Amino acid sequence: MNILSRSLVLVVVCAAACATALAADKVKLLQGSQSSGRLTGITPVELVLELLSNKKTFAVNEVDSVMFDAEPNDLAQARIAVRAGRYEDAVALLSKIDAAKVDRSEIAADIEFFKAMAAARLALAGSGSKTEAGKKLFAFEKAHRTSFHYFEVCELLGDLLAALNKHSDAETFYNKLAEAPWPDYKMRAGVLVGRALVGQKQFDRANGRFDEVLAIEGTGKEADRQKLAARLGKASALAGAGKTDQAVQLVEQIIAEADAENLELHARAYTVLGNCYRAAGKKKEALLAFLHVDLLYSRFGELHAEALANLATLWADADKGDRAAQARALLKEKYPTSAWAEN
Amino acid sequence: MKPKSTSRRLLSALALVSACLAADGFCAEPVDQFVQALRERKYYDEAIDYLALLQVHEQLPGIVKQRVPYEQAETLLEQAGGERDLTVRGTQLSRAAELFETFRGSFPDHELAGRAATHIANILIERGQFVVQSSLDPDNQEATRARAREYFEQARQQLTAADRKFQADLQKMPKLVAPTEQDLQNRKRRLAGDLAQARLLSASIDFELAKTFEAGSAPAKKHLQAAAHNYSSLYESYRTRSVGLLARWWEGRCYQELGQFKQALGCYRELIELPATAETRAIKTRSTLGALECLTNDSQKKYQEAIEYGERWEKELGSNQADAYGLAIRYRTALAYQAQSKALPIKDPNRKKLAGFARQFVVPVAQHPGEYQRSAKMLLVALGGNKDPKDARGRDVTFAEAYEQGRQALERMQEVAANLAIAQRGKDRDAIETLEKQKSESTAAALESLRLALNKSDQKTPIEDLNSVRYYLCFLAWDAGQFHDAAVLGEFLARRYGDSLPGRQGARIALAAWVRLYSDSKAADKDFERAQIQHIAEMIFKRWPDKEESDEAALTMLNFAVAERHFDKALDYLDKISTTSPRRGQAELRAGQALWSAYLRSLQAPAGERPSDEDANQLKQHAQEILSQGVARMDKAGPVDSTLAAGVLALAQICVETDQPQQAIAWLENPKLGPLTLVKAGNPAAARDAFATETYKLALRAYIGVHPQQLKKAEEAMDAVEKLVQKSGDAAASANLTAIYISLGRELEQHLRELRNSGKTKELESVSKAFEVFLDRITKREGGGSYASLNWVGETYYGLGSGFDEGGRPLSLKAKEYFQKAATAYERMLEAAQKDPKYKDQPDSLVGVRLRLADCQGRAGNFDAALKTLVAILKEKSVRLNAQVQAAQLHQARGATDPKGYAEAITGSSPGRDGKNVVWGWAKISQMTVNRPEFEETFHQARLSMAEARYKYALTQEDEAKRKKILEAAKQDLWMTFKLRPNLGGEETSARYDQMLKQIQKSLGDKEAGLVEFKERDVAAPGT
Repeated sequence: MNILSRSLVLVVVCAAACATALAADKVKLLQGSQSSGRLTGITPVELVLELLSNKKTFAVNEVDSVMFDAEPNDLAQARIAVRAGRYEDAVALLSKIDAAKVDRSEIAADIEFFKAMAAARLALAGSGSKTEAGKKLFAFEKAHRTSFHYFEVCELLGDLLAALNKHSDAETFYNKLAEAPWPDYKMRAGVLVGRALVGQKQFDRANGRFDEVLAIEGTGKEADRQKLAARLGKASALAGAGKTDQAVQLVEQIIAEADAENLELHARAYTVLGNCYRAAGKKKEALLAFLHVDLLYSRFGELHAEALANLATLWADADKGDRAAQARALLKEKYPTSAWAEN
Repeated sequence: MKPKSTSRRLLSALALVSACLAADGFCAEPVDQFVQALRERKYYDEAIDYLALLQVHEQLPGIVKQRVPYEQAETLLEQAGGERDLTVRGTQLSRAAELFETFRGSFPDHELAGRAATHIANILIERGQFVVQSSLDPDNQEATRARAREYFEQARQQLTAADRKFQADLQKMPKLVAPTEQDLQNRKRRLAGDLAQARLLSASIDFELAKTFEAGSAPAKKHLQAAAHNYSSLYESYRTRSVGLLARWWEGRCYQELGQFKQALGCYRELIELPATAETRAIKTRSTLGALECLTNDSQKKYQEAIEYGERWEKELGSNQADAYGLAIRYRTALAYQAQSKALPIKDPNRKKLAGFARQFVVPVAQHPGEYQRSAKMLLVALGGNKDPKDARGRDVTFAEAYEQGRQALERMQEVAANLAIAQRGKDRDAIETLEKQKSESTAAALESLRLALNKSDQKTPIEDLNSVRYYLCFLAWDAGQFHDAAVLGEFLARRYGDSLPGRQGARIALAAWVRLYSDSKAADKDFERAQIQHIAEMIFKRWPDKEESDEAALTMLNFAVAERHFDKALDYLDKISTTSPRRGQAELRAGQALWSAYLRSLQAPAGERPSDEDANQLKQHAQEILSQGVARMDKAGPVDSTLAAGVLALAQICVETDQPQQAIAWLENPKLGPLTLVKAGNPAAARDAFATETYKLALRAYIGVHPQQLKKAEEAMDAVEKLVQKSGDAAASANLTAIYISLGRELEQHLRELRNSGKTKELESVSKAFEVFLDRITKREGGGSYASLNWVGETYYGLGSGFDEGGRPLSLKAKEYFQKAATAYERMLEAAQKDPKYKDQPDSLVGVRLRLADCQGRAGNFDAALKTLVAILKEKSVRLNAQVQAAQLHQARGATDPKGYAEAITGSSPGRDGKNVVWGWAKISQMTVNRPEFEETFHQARLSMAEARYKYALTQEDEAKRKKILEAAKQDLWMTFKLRPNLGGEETSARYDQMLKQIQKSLGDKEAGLVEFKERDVAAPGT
């Protein structure tokens, strides 16, 4: 072998080694940075990434997404679609993946997760069966208790159960979410448990949970959001207990304080407000509150469905039969599987 | 104005002046340089204050003082140039125009007088343009356009004056100026430049006028042709100067508007061929755009030539040019490339290449904000060619795409709406149907896309775009009459994004929406809507206290308070409207008219509820003051509109009602604002229904009431009103005319009553006498009176007679005389009707006149004639309840002189062939109405009158036993009524029963317990 041939062999070997080094799992953080390596440790709370002899550990609550080495392109695309809220596209992309060809268990789990998650999101937005989506999620939760998606799955399961009016079961899953070690997760879980308790008409207990959230020391945007959500929860507990005037006052205060673009909070606030007014027999005020949800915050399917169901009655009370019919038709068309459409 | 307090500004100006004086003495003060420096730094308020202080300074030379208003006006003009708030800008320009006028008026020979006129013309043109552009109400479009035309014509006059002044000044100068006389040379050059500018502006007047007519209409074409001709002449005069080149461009523009693309291209090409220099760059660019617009027009489709011009411009002048013209040229060039590309077969490789060129041109346009940015983005999407179609459920559609689609649908909708308005004016049913369908489709498409956009937004979506989507949805909801939705969205924007334009516009829509919801609500309880209106208005007052929105909200609230008759509140809201606001005048007129209506209503209120004379006079005076202020303000603001015309009419009404006919005539005949002037000129401001008739009615009263009387003018007014009504072609013209005369009679009657009530006997007699003279003249005029005018004569005499009726006392001879004259007029009317087949065939239509005749005969003391008239009516149809009531009243009135009348009032009279009384009397009237709820009022009138007749009859009896017996019978009548109707017809009627009963009780020598006696009796023996 002459020098030239030896050199060529060396180049080929190097190229192969480099290719191995380049093909890696990637962890993208919420703050924007990205790390590559081999995922060697996955738990609900942390991810361990190894690159040569280096080991990096990431808290799951700081992770934006994880991409696996040699994962199917459709999985990568589906992940993007999910993050952009295009759940139907995600479902279509995931269905194209041949499971038999996936030999790495983490990738198979990720595919399973995204399938269940997209189905759940669609069901919550009013298209697709909540029960079917719940089954998929439940199966995932059972089979992958160490997945880094675990807490997200618990929260989603809680949401689905709440939407199915199974607030007690929802509470169980939200309590699992509360086991997460991070204050922002604990706060969110507290708010969700509180809401589930309101759903069970356990207003005093709910109030207690919301107070616990408010007592958690946390700063930053997310903590502020959760505290506002907890105050809103207290308002709905007050309304449930018949203290509608106090509840209205509190909700209006929250609406005034909240960032205009904290859309979900506003959607919830106006829903609570509408319910308070209805409970107090103030139909015109209730109509306006629910109309806010319909016009400005309709992206939140379950809340929109609730607003439409209320509007259908309130428009009729206001002698606007055509608007009542429109609201009812939209409810049936957009949220056929929602409990609100069944009434 | 900048938000800076006046005192602070004055202090700083004072400091500046003091500093300058202290430094060099005033004569050395470099006024021009200093003012210029202040303007350059945008210290406009300080510059104006500084100039104001100079004006009052004793040391200042007169020649400098003269120029102060001019300099202030120029400062305001410059300030307005940078002002984005249109209301503030309008105020600044108005003030500038006033100052220029002051300057011109004071120093007509000043060298700057011509420039001042040019500036005024410019301001007037801008006002006219603003009026045309801001006109949204299709119903008022013609009036708005007429206003704009007035502005333009006024501008033309100013420019003619400026032209004359510049020419005169130039003629004063030597034809040849030696090069050594630099100053003189500069002045001459400047004057020549000013003259050329004025002429260019003057040529633009016809172009602007054309825009005030429907595009393509004959008058629009006429004005465009005139403008093209003027520009052409200007070009010939100033061929080598920039004014000449600009004129050539405008000439091309006129041809382009006329659709004469060949001529337009001739002008543009000539300018495009100019050598490229810094001076010609702008005109070449504008001409290239003009040429591209012509060449890419659907009727031309000369895309290749367009591409050549576009490419040439890009190469020659395009580098780094991203102004509006540059972007427009690139967009048009891209369109031309796209059209060329699409014309090729799909497989032709050049197709893709041309599309690529199109993309190159359109990309920079899509990247720069501006008029074409959105269209450019859409063109880019279209040039992409292979994108998947959008899913109906919104998959793959981004916020930007949905937003763009929504905007385009909205634009389509507005375009269709404009065409619909035209079709509606032309009453073209087919077009209306088609356009309504198209509008509804575009609206639905816009709604769908915008709602989708809202759902597709995320944290990265620019908040301006997101709020635009919300605002469009708000606007669409308003347009569709979904006022709840409009209110919710509008308030959201106002509350959350109050500093943005959508926030301010949202607030306006929200307020308007709640006002609509309030007025549309049929519910008795409107507290919720009222509270919402109050809430939004308060938010606006708090958030934008010095802005147009606040003035508009105050005007809305003022209207609202007026409608609810809360006049104090209305005046509070008036105070909220800045005196410099363009709405102030309108608000004053509205408030003034409301106060005036309140005053008129107060006169008709029942005695107990009527305000004191002092309060009433104050109300009247206040109304007059506010109206006068409003009229003065609106007069200054520009041409007359319908609000101003109505305000002047109300002022004239006040003058007539307050016995100032001379002043009323002055208002009515005012050469600019006078309602009579406007009506005669066919001014659109006087086009409102009934305005002309109200004007003539008022003029009639004023001409008759003034000393000396202007009877010829009064007759002319009367003829005019008759012609006006007949001209309307209305089948009910005659009835309308009659109604007008009747209302005139009623107004006079009320006026006389007021004079009598306030003890103004002299004025009462004077007004009555004045009318009498005129009425006699009408009655005696050649050809006799018409049915309607005789009706008026009758009604007016009736009104005059009623004015002398002091209620309860026997009528004076004067009153009887008037009622007799009224009766004569009605008799003549009936004679005229006998000859008129229209009335002959419909005798029922004359019953009202015959009843009125009987009333007049009765009041004039001619009972027999009155009874005869009534019996004749009742013989035709005995069930005419109003005639029966009138006959019973007649008998009862006769009772005062012949007690037999009281008996006949109760039992009736005039037996017919069947022996039954034709006149029923109160007893039968009460029997006939007792079981008819619709005649409940008549029933109580009969029962009360019956008791009163018995009571009065009893009082005429000398035999005490007999008197007592009749009084007991009267009491029994009332008792029976009480048993039959325990509530006695309500509070008011019950009080009358109570009063009657007390009189009877008193005459019987009983305790005057009134109805209490019946109530006690009823409790004691309920069955009786």
